[in-house]
Amino acid sequence: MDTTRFERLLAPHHDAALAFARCLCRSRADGDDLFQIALVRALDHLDGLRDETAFKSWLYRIIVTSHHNSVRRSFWRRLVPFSDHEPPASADDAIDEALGGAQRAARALSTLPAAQREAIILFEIEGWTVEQIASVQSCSVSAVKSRLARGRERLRHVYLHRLGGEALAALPAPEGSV
Amino acid sequence: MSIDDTITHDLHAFGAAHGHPRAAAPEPALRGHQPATSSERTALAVQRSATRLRVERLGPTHARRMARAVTGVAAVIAMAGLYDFLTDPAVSIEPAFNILGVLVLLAIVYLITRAVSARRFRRRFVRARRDGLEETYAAKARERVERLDGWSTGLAVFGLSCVVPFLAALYVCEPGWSGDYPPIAEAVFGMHTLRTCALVSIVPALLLGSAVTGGRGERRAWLRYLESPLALAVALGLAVIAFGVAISAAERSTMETMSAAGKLGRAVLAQVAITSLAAWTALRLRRGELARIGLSPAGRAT
Repeated sequence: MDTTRFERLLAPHHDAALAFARCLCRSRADGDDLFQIALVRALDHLDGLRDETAFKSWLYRIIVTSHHNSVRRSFWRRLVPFSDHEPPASADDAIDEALGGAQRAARALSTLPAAQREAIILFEIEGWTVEQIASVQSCSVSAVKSRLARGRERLRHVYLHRLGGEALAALPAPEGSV
Repeated sequence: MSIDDTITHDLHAFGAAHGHPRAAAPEPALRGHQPATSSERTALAVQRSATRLRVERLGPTHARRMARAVTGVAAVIAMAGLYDFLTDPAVSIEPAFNILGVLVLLAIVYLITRAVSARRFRRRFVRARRDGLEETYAAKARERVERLDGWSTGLAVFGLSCVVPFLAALYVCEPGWSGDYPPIAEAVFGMHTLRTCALVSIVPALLLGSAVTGGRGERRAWLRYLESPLALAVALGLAVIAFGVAISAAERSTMETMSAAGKLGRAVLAQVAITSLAAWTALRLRRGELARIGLSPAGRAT
């Protein structure tokens, strides 16, 4: 395994990819686990990467695939409850006025299906184009647009009806917001 | 401020909280124990991934080696037990049922041992990761896999050497195959007594196991010869000669007139052929495993 080459390729994208993995998961620990699983898989298949300029999208595709696998696995995990298993976050919790913006977004994002969540995070937080997201998610551009629109609609619904959106919308705009 | 603005603002705050570089820098408290600079973080992440990958590659090899060793022992026990049972004249032999029974028993033993071993390996690694002992575990796992090398090769060869003639003997008892069950079956059973199997196979099997333990085997020329196609051809030739002579002797009804030394010589020849075939199979399996876990068959770690 060529760790030197992998390190050289990973270095410019490490922080962003780690942040992306953390955003996909419900907790930082899960995100770190997902990131490491993706790195192990990437290192294992590094020989198959012909075009080094495509490393970033290749790595993100691996993260997305690993995330899908973990979501699928957690379905089975739900059938067998463990005492130390983290309870899934729910947007049905009572409105918490003290919730920060990040926590509100985390709760709202946790209600989205995995594909919509990935598309929203890549588009809104990472600033990727629809075409780039389509290549990472291995789907068509129109499918990505549909996921973004549905995801945004779902977030709006969650904010309005479950997270006290009316009250939030009445707040003054925070500094630096768009 | 519209609800969409709030969502956008919250998503950016969410990105910043998870340390996204496009957003604001994460708070120091959120950084945890990570090193300060990005290059150090990358190097650490790559190092951890490489360690984990090494262990993950060792896992299936460890499970397969354990399963081969245990299945080898199970094959010897099954052969010993059933041999006594089937050679009892009072017992009516059901060849097809017994062949299937032995094969199913060995397959079950192999699959269960492999599954249990893989699970235990994974659980130990998870515990080691939790305690931050990944590197130590990787080194220990490698040692364990290398230690198992000899046992898995030796016991697998011995098990195969015992069970193959036994199954062959059962096979020729099939009325559809021989048409004339007693003389041929007697010939084959007569050749392959448990004592012959044990004496002829156990010594080379244990020698082979000892020779490959700890990766020493790669430097031995005779081992390289044993896993070459030439060795396979020689072993197949010996097997054809031994079984051909046995069957023709049985058909000509000369078994009774053959001397004890002649019978023993033929039995030893057949058993040598079978042991060579078993050794060739085990060594070829081992060669594939060494390539998978990062040890080239021609030398030490790559």
